[in-house]
Amino acid sequence: MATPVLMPKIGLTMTEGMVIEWKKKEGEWVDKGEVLFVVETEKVAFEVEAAQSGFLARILVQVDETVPVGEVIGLLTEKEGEKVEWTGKTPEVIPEDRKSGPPEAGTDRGKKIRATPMARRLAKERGLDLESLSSSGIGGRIRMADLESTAGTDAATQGPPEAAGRLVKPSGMRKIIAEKMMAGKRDTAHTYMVASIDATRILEARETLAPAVEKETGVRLTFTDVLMKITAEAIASHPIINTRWTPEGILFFDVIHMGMAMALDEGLIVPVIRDIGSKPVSEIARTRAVIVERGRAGKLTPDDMKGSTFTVSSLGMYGVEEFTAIINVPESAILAVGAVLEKPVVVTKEIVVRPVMKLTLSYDHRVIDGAKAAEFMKTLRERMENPSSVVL
Amino acid sequence: MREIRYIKAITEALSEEMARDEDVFIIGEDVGGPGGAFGATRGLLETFGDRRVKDTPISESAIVGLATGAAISGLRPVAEIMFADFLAVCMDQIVNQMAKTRYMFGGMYTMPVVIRTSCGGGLNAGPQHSQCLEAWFAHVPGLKVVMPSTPYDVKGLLKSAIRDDNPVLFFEHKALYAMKGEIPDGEYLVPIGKADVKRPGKDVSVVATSRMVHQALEAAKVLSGEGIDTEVIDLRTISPLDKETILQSVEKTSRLVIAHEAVKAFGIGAEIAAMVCEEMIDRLDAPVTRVGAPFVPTPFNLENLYLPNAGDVAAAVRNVMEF
Amino acid sequence: MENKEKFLEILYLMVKIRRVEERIDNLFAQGKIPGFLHVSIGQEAIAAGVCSCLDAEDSILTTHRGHGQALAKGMDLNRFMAEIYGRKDGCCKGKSGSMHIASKEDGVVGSNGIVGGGLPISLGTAFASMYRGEKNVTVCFFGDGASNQGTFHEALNLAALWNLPIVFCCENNGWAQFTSQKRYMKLENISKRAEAYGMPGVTVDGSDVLTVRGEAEKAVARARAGEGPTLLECKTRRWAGHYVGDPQKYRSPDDTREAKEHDPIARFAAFLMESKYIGPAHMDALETKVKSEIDEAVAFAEGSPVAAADELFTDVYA
Repeated sequence: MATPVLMPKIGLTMTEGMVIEWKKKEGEWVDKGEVLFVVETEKVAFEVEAAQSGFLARILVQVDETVPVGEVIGLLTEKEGEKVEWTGKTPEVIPEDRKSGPPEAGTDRGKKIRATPMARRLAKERGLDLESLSSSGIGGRIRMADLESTAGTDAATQGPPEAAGRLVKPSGMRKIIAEKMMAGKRDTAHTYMVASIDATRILEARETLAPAVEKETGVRLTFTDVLMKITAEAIASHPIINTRWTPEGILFFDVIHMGMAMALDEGLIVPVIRDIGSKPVSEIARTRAVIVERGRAGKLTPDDMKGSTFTVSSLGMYGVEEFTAIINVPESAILAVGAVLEKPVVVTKEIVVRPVMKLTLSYDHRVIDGAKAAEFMKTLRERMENPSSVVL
Repeated sequence: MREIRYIKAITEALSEEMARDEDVFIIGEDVGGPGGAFGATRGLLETFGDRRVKDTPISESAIVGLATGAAISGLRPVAEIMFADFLAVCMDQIVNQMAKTRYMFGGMYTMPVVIRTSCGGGLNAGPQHSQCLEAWFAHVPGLKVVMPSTPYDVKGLLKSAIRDDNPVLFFEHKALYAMKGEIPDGEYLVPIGKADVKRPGKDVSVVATSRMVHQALEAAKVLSGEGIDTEVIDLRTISPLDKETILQSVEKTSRLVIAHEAVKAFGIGAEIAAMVCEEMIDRLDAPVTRVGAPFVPTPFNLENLYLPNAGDVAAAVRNVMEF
Repeated sequence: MENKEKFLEILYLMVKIRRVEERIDNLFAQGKIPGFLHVSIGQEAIAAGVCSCLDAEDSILTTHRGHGQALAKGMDLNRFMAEIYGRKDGCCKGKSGSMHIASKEDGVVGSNGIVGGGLPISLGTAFASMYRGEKNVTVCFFGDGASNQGTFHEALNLAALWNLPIVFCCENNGWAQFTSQKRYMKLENISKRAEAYGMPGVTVDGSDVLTVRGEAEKAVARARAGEGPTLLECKTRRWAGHYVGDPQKYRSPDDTREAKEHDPIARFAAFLMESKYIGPAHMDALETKVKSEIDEAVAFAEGSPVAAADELFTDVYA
C-alpha cells in the first residue's frame, strides 16, 4: 500500500507549485517531520515536511515540473523496495478550490509543447527551440505560420556562427517576474516624474529617532524606514495615488499596504508592510527587519507578498542617482528612490553643498493625471524636507 | 468539343467499345429492350442485336457469374447491376470468384469484366437504393474501383475500364446522370489510377469523389472569398489509389480534407488519411479531416440532413485552416 | 454399345482416382499436405463416366471434392500432385491447393471452395461457346448440398431460358457436409427440380459407371446440338468423411458400412471380367501401373520447391 505525497497548498491563493528539490532519492527512508522536498510558488521557496515516515518508493514529479495543488508527486511505502502500482489517479482528497478537472478530449494531457508536426519539422530544420516561438494556434499551439517569420534562418544555410551562449532555464520566480514586468509595461499608461529632494532634514530625523527605536525594538532604524513612513503620509493626502484601475472603474483603497522592493539573488521580490499608515516608524523598522531576514533566509510566504497598494524601490545603496521603476501591477504608482549624493545646490542665490536625493515616480496615467502626480510629488518633497511636520 | 449528358456519355462509350471489339457484350436486367433502368444502354440492342446485348432475369449472381465464366473463356463482358445496393446480393460472385480467379488459378486466366452500377443519394430512393459502397470493393485485392464525376471522365474511364484486363467496379452516381459537360469529338481515354486536380490551390488539399467533387468546387468558390485558396482533387479511381497526386498536393499545402458521400466511418477517407499520415505526418499542419455521411442508413425523406454538401466541405476546410 | 478401349480407359481412370485419393489421404495423415482435403472415394464412377464423354475443348467446373473430375478430364497427375502439396510446379503455382485445382489446357476451368459458387460461372463458359458459334459443352459438377443454394436456382433458370450448352451434374452422396439429405430437403430426387426450370432431369445410380456414362452422353449430345441444358443427378455414396480427418461422429457406422457395399470399381471390374473384356491379371497390372504413376507424381511434388516470396504479389492484376 502506497501513501501519496501531494503538492501542498501554501498560502490562500496558490493553485500550482513547482518542485525545485527532492531532499530524498527514490528508495530512501524519510522520517515524519523531516523535510522531504522543496516547492516554489509565486517566487517563494517552501520546504515541505513528510507527513509520515516511509520509503520514498516513487518520485512521480521531477524537479522543475509544475503541477496543480493536490496532485500526487510521490509515493511512500512502509516496506523497503515494495513494488508500487500507480494508476495515475489523484486521491479523492482534493482542496476545494482546485479548479482543474479531467482533461477534455482534444485538450492537453501532459505538459509538452503543443505544435503541429509541420511546425516541429520547420523548427528542427531551422535549429529553433520550440519554446522560443510564439504560438498562434488554438490552445497555444505552434503552427507552421508561426515559423514563417523565422524563414531564412535555416540552420544549414546560416552565416558565421553567432557567439556561443549558455542557456539558463528560467526558474518559476523568473517566469513570474518576466510576466509581471511585461504586464506592467503593457497594461498601464506608464508616465514618469522626477523630484529632487534635499535630504538634510530627513537624515537628521533618522539620527534623532534611531536610538529610541533601537532601544524599543532592537532594530536599527534605516533611512528607508523613515522614507517609507513619510511617503505613506504623503499618499494619505493624495488618495488618487493609492488606487487600482479596473474595467468597471478606479478602485480606491482606504488602507496603505506598502510594498518594499527587495533584491534577492534569485530575483526581485516585493514583501508588504501592511497598513503602514497606522504604524509608527519603530514598528515599520521592526516589520521591515523581520521581512528582510525572512527574505534572505527564503522563508517568506506568498501571503507576505500579497496586497500592496503602493511600492517603493530603492537602489540608493548602489549609488544610482536616478532610475525609473516599472509599476508593480495592479498598483497605480511606484516610487524609485535614488542615492543620497552630495551635490552643489543654490540656496538664496548661493551655491552650497547639500545631500540630494532624486525620487522618480512612475504612475499610471489612466488613473493619475500629470497635475495630480505633481501635486503628490510636491507634498512628498515638502514632507521629506520637513520631517517634523510628520508624526513619525 | 461538344456538350453531352453524363448518361449519354456512358452510352457512347459502350457503343464505341462494342464497335471496336467483337468480344465486348452487355448483360444485365432491362439493358436490352428497355435500354437500362436509367437509359444508359438505350439504342444498343437495336445497333448490336440480342447476341451482344443480353436481358436477364432478376438474378444478380447469375449475371456476375456468367460474366466471370465468359471472361475465363476470353470474352469481355460489361455487366450492369442496377443499383450499387444490389451488389450485396451477388457479393460471393464478385469477391470470392471474380476478384480471385486470376490469382488463385496461378495467373491462368484474365478477368476483363466491368460491372457498371448506379450509386448515391439525392433522389429520395431510400436506404436500399442510395448507398455508396466503394469502400467494400476497394478493400478486395484483385478488383479495381472507379468513380467518375463528369461526362468527360465517365466516357473516358468506361472505355478504359472495358479495355482493362481486370475486373472493374464502375460506380456511376445517379444524381449525376443528368449532368451536362463538354467532351472532345474524337476518340479519347481517361486512364484508370490517375486522379485529376480539378482546381489548383495552395492553402488546403481537398480530395473528393463523385458528386462530392462538385460540392468541393462550390465550397472552394466560397472559401476563395474568405481568402482561402483550395486545391480540389478528383480521385476518379479509388483503387488503385493515385497516392502520388495526393501526396504532392499535401506536400504543397500541409492540410488535407477528404470528402466522400459514403458514410464517413470506415470509408475510403480513412484509408487516405492513414496513408498520408504514414507517408508524411511531419508535413501536416492540422489533422486530416474527413467529410462524409453520418453513421445511419440513408433516410428516405431526410436526405437534406444526411447528404454531405458544399457547406460541410467549407466548414471542414475552415477548421483545418484555424487549427 | 462402346468399344473396349473406352471401357478400359474408364476402368483405369476410376482406379487411378481411387488410389490417388487414398494416397493423398495417407500423405495428409503424415502431415505432408497443408490445408483442407476432401476426397471422393466411392464416387469415382461419376467423374469417369461423365468426363469420358467430353473433349479437351469442353469445360468442367468442379467443387472442393473435385480431384476425381479434374483427373478424369485429363489433367496431368504430376502437376495435380504438386498443387496438392502447394509447390511452385503445381498447376496453380501452389497458390490454390486442393480446393482450386484448375487446368486451362485440359478444360478444367476450376474447382470452387464456395458451395454452389461454380454454377453461375458455368453459365459463362457455356455462353462464350454459344456466342462464338462453337460447339463446346460445359459440365458443372456440384453436390446435393449445393442444390439448395440460390445460385442453383438462378443458374438453372437462365441456362434453360437461353438454351445454354450445359450439363448440370449433381453428385448426390446424401450428405451436405455433416447433414444428411433427409434433414435438409423434402425432395428425394433432386432431378425433379429440373421441371421447375423447363429442362429435362434424370436420376441414375451413380455407382454404375455405364449408366452414368449413358445418360451423360445423351445430355452432352443435347447440349452440343443446341438443345439446352440437362440436370443429371447421380446417386452415390461418400465412403469417407466430409474432409480428410473427419471423425464422422454425426454418421452411423451402419451408414458408412452400407456405403462401402456400393463399390463402383468392383462393380465395373466384375462386369468387364464377366464380359471378357479383361482377364484376372488385368487388375493387378493396372494397380501396378497406377501405383508407379502416383509414386512418380509424389516424387515430383516433393521435389518441387514452394514458390518464391515474390510470387505472393503476382497475378493479383493482369
